[in-house]
Amino acid sequence: MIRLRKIRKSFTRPDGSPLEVLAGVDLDVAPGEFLAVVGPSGSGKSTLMNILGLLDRPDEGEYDLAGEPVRDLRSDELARLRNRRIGFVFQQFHLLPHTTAVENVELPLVYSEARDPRRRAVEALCRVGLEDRLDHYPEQLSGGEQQRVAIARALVTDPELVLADEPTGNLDQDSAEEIMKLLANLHRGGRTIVLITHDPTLAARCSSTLRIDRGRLVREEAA
Amino acid sequence: MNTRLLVLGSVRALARNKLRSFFMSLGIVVGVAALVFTRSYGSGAEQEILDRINRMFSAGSIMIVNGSGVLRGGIRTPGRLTRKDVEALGAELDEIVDWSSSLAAGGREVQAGDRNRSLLIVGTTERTPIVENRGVTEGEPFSAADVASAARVALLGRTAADALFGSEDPIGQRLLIDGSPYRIQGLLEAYGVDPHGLDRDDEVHVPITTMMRRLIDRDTIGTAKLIVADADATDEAVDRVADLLRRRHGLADDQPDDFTIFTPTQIQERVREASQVLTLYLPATAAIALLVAAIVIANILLLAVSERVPEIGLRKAVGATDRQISFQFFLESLVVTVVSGLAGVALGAAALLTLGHATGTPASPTPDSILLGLAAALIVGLAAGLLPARRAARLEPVDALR
Repeated sequence: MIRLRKIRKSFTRPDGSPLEVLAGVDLDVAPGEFLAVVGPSGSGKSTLMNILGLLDRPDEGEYDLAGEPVRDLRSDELARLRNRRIGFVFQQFHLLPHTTAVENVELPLVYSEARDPRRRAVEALCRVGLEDRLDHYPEQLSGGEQQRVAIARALVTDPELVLADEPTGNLDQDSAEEIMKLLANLHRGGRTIVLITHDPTLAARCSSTLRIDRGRLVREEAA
Repeated sequence: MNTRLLVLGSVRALARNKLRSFFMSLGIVVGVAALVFTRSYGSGAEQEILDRINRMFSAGSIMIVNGSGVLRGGIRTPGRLTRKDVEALGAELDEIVDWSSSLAAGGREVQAGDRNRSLLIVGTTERTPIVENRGVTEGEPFSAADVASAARVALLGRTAADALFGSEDPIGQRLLIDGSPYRIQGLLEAYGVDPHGLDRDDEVHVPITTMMRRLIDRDTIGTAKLIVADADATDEAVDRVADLLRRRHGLADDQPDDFTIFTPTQIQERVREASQVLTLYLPATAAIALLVAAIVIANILLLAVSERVPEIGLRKAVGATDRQISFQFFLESLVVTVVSGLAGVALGAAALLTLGHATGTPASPTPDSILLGLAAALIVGLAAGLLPARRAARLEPVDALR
């Protein structure tokens, strides 16, 4: 599903000196894998996620997504790939305010050729157990419910790959548990999931774990 | 891309920010309304003047005014145009099929019984009903004999007749002009206000000979009007008329004309030139309002772009291309301006109809002013959306989601 080779990415510090965040990352994620990427904050987890999600380009290295090299794709081709193949779940939910749950879930379908976007959005919300919250606005929903809306939005285009960046970071324990169950369900349904977290107990529930350490990835055996 | 959903989203975004949308539309509404109003009112005014001129001065006619420099508005040199000149033009030039002379004098005291009124007195001929297209509604027009004998007879306009005789029938009554008695033999066809703003129903006509001999003692006339057989050959006829008049007046080649000739075409051109103030310059000031509106909209949208950075980032993350993002902001600009443009047209039309109702002169929006107004709104929308749309499209999704 994912094949990274010698991915490098560095940023410029405010004082002008370079900061190397990814120092030659190699990564293979098989289809259907439920992978956790762990590491302390500032270790480059989010940078890796942005590169995996085609939101950012590496400075160097090769990235094949579902067998397709993406390095030389134009930005509109990347947008199309994100739309079709990747679902995102963010720590901050990133729901549009003043927009109902079902409209939020519809958003990716605005940019696809999918027919009947409303029906598909409703179905996705049913799958995350929010069939009675369709017309609620994000500000009327609990944090856990908002994140479930975000998961429904990630599912609505039926992507092979779901990228979840600290999805439970802003939630209480019960809500976090529900979100993890949903992700586990998706995994059982055959999707490839990359979960980025700093919490080892969450990582323990994934099929494999990678630790990001000084810009490199180290595979840990499942506990 | 699902355009319907995108449009729906734009409309919702605008509906959510009602105050902001109101400020965006204000300039367009006022600008377009002003454009429609001034443009329609200007061309209405121009058309009204042209209509009046056409009535007085139809195609295929030539007006000769005694003296030079009339059209330049300068001091007239005294002329030598006589009735004999006009008769000679009619007799010698085949293309002239009809002709008439006239001479007017303003502000003469006219008395009927115990009422009096200061009237414009116009000397006319038996040919005037045909040449000027103005006959009598009651009684008799002047006969050739009336003109030949300088008879003391008069034709009265409707306004003057009402003022002097009230409900009495004026025909056959006596009228004193400069103290001498005249018999009223007819009522002039109603005419209205002429292009100079004179009420042409508030005047009295006498035979031109009577005017020249008995009232002002002059042997030159004021104006002559000629009718050309073929309206398309008016310009050629003008040259021949000028040649003959110069010959009859014995003017050498280096001497200027002592008469002024003009044709309906010339007058229409002058009216159009003069009314550019109404049809061109006034609408141009409305364009300034629209320019300001464009700047306001562009600013508000730029503000909206920076406010909506996370939204733009999210849309890009879920698959919006740069082009689709810029389309969205263009769309919001266009929805505002087109809706406001329609409102502006409605407001301008309402103002015109209200004004028309209040003044009694019908005024309504012209199709070209409506098209102009909507086109202006559209252009403002596109121009104002340009910069915000570009800025939104160029945001990097990573930066936008941070």
